[in-house]
Amino acid sequence: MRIRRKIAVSFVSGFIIILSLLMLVLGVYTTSIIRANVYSYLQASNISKAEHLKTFIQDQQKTAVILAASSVYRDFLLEPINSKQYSLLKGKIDKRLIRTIESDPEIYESMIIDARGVIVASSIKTNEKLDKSGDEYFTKAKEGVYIKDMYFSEIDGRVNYTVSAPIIADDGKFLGVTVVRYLPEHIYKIVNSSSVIGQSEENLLVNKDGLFITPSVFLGSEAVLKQKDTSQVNGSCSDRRGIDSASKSDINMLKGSLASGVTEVTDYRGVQVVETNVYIPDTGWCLITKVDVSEALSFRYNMIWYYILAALFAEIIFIAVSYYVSRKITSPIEALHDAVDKVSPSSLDFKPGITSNDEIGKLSGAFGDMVLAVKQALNDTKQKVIEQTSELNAKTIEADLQKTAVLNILEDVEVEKKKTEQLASDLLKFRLAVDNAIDQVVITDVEGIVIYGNSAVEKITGYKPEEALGKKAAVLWKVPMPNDYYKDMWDTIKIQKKPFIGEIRNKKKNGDVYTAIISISPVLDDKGDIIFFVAIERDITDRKKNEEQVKKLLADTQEQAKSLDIARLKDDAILEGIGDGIITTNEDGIITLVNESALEMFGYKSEEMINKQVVEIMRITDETREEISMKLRPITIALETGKKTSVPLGSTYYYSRKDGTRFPSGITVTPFRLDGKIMGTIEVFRDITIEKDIDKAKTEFVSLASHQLRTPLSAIGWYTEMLLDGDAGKISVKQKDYLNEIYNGNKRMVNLVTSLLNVSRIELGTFSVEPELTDIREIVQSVVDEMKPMIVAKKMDVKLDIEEGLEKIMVDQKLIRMVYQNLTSNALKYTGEGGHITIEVKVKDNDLLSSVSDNGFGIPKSQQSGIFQKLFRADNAKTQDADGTGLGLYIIKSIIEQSSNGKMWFESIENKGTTFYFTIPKSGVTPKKGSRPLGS
Amino acid sequence: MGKNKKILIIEDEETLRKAVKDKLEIASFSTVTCSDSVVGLETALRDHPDLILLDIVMPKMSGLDILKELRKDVWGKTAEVIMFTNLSDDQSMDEAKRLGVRDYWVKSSLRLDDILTMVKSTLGI
Repeated sequence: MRIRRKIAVSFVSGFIIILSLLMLVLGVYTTSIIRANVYSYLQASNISKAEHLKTFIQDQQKTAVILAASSVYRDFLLEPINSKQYSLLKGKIDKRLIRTIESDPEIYESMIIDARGVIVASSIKTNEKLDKSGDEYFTKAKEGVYIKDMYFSEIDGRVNYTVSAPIIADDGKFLGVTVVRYLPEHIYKIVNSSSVIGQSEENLLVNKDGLFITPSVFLGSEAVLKQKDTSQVNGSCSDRRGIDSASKSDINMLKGSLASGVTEVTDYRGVQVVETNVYIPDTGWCLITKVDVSEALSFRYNMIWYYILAALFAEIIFIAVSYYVSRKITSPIEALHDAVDKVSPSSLDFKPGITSNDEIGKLSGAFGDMVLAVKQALNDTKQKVIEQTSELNAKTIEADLQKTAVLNILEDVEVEKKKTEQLASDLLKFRLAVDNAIDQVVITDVEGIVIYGNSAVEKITGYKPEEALGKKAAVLWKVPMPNDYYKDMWDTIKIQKKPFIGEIRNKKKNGDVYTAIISISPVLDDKGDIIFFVAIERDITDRKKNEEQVKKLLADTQEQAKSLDIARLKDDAILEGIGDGIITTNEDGIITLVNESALEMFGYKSEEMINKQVVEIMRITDETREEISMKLRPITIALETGKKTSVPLGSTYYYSRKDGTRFPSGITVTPFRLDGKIMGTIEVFRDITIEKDIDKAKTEFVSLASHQLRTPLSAIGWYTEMLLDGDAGKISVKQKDYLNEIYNGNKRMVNLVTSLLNVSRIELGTFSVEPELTDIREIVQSVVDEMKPMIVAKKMDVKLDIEEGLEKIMVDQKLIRMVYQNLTSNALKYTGEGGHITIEVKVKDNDLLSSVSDNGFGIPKSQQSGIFQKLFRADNAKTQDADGTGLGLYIIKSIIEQSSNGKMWFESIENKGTTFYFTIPKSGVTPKKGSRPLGS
Repeated sequence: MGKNKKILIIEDEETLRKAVKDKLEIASFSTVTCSDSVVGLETALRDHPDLILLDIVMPKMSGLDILKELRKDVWGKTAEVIMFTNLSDDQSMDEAKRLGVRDYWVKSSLRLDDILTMVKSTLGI
């Protein structure tokens, strides 16, 4: 065999062995990776679904707890059955149960079971009164929130599960249980969502008895609560139920000890599967995720085909390469063999021992022949060659030397020429560069006299370069600088002969001073003496200025930051110092800031409130303990309308403290904006318990005053009246005069009490407004008729100017009458005898405009501003009529402006007269229910 | 003129009771007075007066309570009642009107003469 083939065969067979080993290792390794991947996918899918399930269940547990904590439920269960309050609360609760059902389509039924175990309220009416005392959703819930496993409801046969929570009284007494029955559809959805591994992947929820509680991929929903899981997985999650009591709801537990490993087992169909499972805390449920082994590992067989193909390809390449390499190795040997064959064909002295037929054998033979031939020839020519060679050498050396010398000279001349040309051109470039440099370049001699200056000299200093030539640089530009500076400079460049670099201040031709960076380098000759100095200078005045500005700006910024810090500290201190509760929220109603007073009022710690939804942590109820609905809460209104919002007039809102007690609260919520967009709210509130008490005391006082004060006043009035009537016998003129004084004095007192009561009712807002269709003309006429005696006595001229065809208007007759009465009687009182009074009523735009004018004493300018104030009386009014209370105008202005949507004003000139005006809308006034009417 | 008419005055305040009684008797009415509301109700049901003047704010039973009891009685159903009070509030007024009282007055704003006029017109004299 030829050597070339030998090499090729051994190379190829070696390669095949290595390749086979490699494939074997790769195959095993790939299979294990694929398996590990399938396992981890399976486990990840299993865990993620379990987490989803767990969160879902936790939400439902929370819902149950929230429901159970409702004060209405507690109150309801505390009431004796069939009491009035009981049936009242029952109605409320029924509504609530229905609301619960409507809030979540998964909720099938919501009910309340009392302490005996009887359903007392349910969203499914027919289930009420059923005895559930034996059902585990009642018995187990006594100890806490309980989830009852999936079961077929005996009532309607539906598969469902329940979440129940105990209702506990404030004193810790067990009152009953709230139960929510859930349909399992959402759980089915979570369990069967997105399979990731393959078509045979199946996710199953299995209860503690091993029964399927979610539909099977292979058996459908028929399997629910019927098919049993038969696979025996090691460390199956049913073993881990004890974890519930040990460490509840820790999600890490799911990933760690709650999850089983992944194993290959035979499932309920008898098929080999890869399976993992995890236990869902609190439920007794186990989530199984599995996939058929045949599908999971099918990828492995594909991979093996790829490997075989790759190996075949590699083999072909390698065969080609090895053929080429073996050929490359043997070809020189063959060439040598051919050459040797040609050199010594005749000599046969040397007989090689090797007789092999390959290249080496041939070479060996040829080599033997050649050795003999060379030996022969060497002996013959040795002497001759030595002689001739030495002669020839001598001649050749001589000629070479001569030739080289000539060539060298020619070459040198050429090089020198080129160098000179180059140098000239370099110098020119250099000069141009220096001349036009932006930096100022000055060359001085040893004494500092300028011998060169570039064009930048003029730009920077204003001197033309030729002006500077021959001058001493130090004199030309120098400005006073510390002596040390120059000393140091000269010392560096002249004595130490080193470059000096520094900042320098120089003077321009026009006298301006500029700052520059300068570098001065001494240029030395071969001996080390200075020939001249080169100074390069750059004007940095602008840069300096900029630097200073930046520095100043930086200082300013720091100053500002500092004052901002101080302002913030001040704000914090103010916030903490304020006695009112302050809470800020963002635009979503999440609490961002709470001050100390608010925390004290609620009894929470800061971290219990911050970042919480304000409506969740701060519950508001009304007088009847009914929760204020979300859309009526001041914060909701403020965020929606963008307006400052308070508790509506006439109602009281109560905040609930952490311990469940309540306090009445005055609440104001103000939204704040940035660029027009609402960014959040500031809520200010305070405990108004004391104000409420004062308010109550005030109301009680009003009642007391009206009853207790009026009784003796009635007695005085009536007995005086009897004496005056002569019921107790005849009285003298003098006696009659005095009794009249008593009688009038008493009447004033009665009027004062009535006015005071009116004022208090106005301020409490407790008086009623009852509008009815009224003919204003009739009212005015009757008021004037009533005052006839006084009008006649004072010889007054009273004119009525009422627009013809005035339509009837909706007003409270008593109130409107009081207004006309008051204004007319004032006009009568404060106008001299024989005066003129005009009462005018007419339509103006959308209003009815009334005016009462007189030509009486008028109101002094200085006192006009106080005329509508409570208890105010003008000086000239006091002298005219000492009896006035100072309450009349205050009361009628309140009637017009507070409860009739009108306006009241006046014009008056002292000693000329007064006109009072008021308007009421043509459309009439709105009714108002109050506890008391005015005027009685 | 009113000799044959009997008027029952139920009023816990003695001074007021006496003033009304004196005024009515001067006008020749015969009167019965009660300071106690319970006794007053019993008297009314027993004596069947022609008119009852009834105070509202009283201890034990309020005037309104007496009125309600009265209206349950066969005779009391149509008995003439005028109510007096010093406490004016809508609810009592509405209630009294609903129970069919002749009049409802605030004492301190009334003269005795006004009461006399009212009594006479009620009794058709």
